[in-house]
Amino acid sequence: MPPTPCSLCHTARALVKRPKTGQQVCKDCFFEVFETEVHNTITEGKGIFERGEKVAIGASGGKDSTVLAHVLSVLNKRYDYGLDLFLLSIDEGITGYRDDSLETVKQNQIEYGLPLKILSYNELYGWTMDKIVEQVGRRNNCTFCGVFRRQALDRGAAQLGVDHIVTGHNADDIAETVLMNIMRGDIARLGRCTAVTTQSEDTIKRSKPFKYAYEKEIVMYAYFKKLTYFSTECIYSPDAYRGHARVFLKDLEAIRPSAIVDIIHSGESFQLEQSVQKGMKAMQTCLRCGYISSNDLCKACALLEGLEAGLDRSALRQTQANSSTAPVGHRTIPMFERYSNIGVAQPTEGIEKAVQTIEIK
Amino acid sequence: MSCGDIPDGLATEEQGEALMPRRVKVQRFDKSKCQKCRTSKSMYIIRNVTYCKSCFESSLFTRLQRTLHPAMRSTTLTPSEMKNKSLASIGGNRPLPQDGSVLIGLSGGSSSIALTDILVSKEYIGKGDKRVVDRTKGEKQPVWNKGYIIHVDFSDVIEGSNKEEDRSGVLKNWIEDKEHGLGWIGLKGQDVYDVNLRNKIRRIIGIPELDDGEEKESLAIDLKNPDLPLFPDAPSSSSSTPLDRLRSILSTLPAASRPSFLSSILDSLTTTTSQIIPDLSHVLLAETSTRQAQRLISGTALGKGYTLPLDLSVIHKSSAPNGRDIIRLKPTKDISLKEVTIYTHLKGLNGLVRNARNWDNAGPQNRKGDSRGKGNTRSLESLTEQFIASLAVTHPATVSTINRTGDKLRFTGEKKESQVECPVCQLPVDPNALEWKSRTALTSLPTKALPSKDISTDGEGRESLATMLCYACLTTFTPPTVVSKASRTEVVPVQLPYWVGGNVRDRRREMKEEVKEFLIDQDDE
Repeated sequence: MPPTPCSLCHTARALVKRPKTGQQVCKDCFFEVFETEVHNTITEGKGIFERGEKVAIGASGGKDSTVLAHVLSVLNKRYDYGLDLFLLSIDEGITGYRDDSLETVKQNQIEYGLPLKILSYNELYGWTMDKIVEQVGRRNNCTFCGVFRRQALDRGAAQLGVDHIVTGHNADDIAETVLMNIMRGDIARLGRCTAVTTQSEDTIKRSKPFKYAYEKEIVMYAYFKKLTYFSTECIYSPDAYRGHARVFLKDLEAIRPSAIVDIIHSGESFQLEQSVQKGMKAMQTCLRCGYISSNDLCKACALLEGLEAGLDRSALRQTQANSSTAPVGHRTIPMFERYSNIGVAQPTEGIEKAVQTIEIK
Repeated sequence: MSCGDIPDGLATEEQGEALMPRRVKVQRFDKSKCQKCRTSKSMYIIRNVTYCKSCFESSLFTRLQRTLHPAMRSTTLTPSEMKNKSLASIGGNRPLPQDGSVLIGLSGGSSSIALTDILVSKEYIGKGDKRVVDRTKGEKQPVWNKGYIIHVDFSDVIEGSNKEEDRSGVLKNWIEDKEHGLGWIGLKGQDVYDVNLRNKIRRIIGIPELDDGEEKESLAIDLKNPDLPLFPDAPSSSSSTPLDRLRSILSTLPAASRPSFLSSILDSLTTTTSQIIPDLSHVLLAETSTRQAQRLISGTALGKGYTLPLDLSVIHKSSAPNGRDIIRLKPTKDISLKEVTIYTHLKGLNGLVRNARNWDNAGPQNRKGDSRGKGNTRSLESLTEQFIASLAVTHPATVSTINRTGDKLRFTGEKKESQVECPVCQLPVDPNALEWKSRTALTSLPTKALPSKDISTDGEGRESLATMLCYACLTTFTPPTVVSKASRTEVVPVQLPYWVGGNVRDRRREMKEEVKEFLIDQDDE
């Protein structure tokens, strides 16, 4: 049987079948089509980025963030976005998982020449996930991690002086989130989970350039480009509700591969009744740590109070109402400064800064 | 720890006060008795409440009324205003006569059989003779003058080991036995390829046939080409039967798309029938809360998010040819599949009921390239049904939570008059559907040139259906694997149903109307 030619260039031999479209393509065309789709996501409408913007890439050492760092560096050069890129990593304190994946992030720092900042739960909250799980148990611990990580990313970004965070959330993640929010009745999240960029008043912009990139294609890209990434799942990931949505999504994909982007398209079309929108809480700042919150206390402060009080899973149900002073002896989260006071002159290109940093070391 | 218990009768007043007050005995309910009437033996438990037979029936009917009554004419309140009002304040337990007829969709599942049975037994539907009722004899004023039942049979295209026989006869006998003057309209899926469909329906109803003045030519489509080019098909004198033509298009569609296509056929036949029935006031579709939740999730997976609020709405108005609004209603929306199944069991109707549609087995089976999913499913719809059913076991509030989410969605499109409709599903087209699809999943690279030898006879220059479809229908018709033009060999167009061809023609006419003053040569079509 003669070799099949690539469906895109029609000359080279096809080596891969694209999970998204089923097209048989050669390796170079696969790289090009993957990168072009990400470029289209970035430049759609008015574009996600502004020239000269400082952008922190949320880097965990996993496949999504590793490929994101690679692709964003490539596209930044190829299309001259003019961005100043940084790597921002959060150490949740999970022994045997996060300490290993952080080594991958340090390798990425060298490979792509991007400055790296690591912020740990321990230095920020005084708790590691290991200690949290020991106290709270193995159920519902994702809530703690998610809430703490969100704030940690914003704080790390503020310390770096960046105004934009990008994360490696891919199409599968977003489709799962749409399904999950419908099934759980989380209207507020359903309204915003498909936006490529989210921003509330006075928070740092977050974007997802991989919004339309399939998880399988990200893995294929990393495999063929021989990128190093850490491929183990979090040791504490429990039988979370998201797992149901994930299994269902994989089953849908098996029947119709376009189901993932179809769900995202549906999610983008959803709009809520006006009465529901008006009923949602307005944003304010946390009375204790100054982070953005929809109640008097932000969720992180409430959870931390529960942990400090020695509560187990009931730490999840701590009230967020009107208690600006923490109980005596409890550790609190430092005040959030949205704009950092770092006055060091920054070079315009990230690579030059990275070279400087390495030289100093 | 001693509680200092003092035997009854020996405690003094002071001692009584010092004791912890005796705990009030909680009356736990007796599950063997109905919790509503507290007298009869309980037969069913729904959401931890026990019911006897008659209380269950009346509770079901009350919930049906809560959805049904707000859609009746002669009320000035909106459905959302109605929601929190008691039935008594809405206007009594019986709506005012609607001065029109009703069309009920009867699939043969528990919910449609239950709905028909309830409406007939409560005398909501008249016999069409407009006779005066004698209230002294306990007769009730019908809400609708006459009722029609529409049943569409797809058994001719369902294949494989689960092949169903045509159940139209059984259901027709049941309807006609009821002696309630219900008009039976039995159609088949392939009737969408019958050029004389409208007159066929008129004959069935018993009204004079008309010359609708529609063109008899249809359109054909090349489903292997992602641009979906259209071809003029041979006139209807062609030798193939409507069934052959339906089978032909089903065999060309990917297996995962067939249930959506059959669903469009069902909707189209119901809509066509509703436009022919004289003085039609309401169309009732017996969709349960379980089915509603499945439609929301499967609709999301099919890319139907833009029109889901319209599709899921309990009340939906459309215009009839006589200018009067027809109200499409889903009265069983708050009733679960379990409850309607209990009802049909209670009434001894289970012999009539067939809940499985089996649309997964439409068209040829085990064709190369067809994917089979979990539990041997072939479509997103049946996978969703299985998923919701299994999730409801571990998370009982799943169905109600999903439906509550669906209730909060609203349609964001423009007003109806200016809205462009999809020729297949006849719902509004999402803006830029094709452009969105092309941008998020590139099938060609701008930097790579096409090969010099290109097959130019396979649809080049032809009108493309892809530009007219909504996102969900585009996904239904798009071939699953994009095959390059160079490797496509023979072009074999399949005929589209007449309603699609008719809508495409109407769309062409509208577009020509918009630009006619700029056209130099008016080509005759």
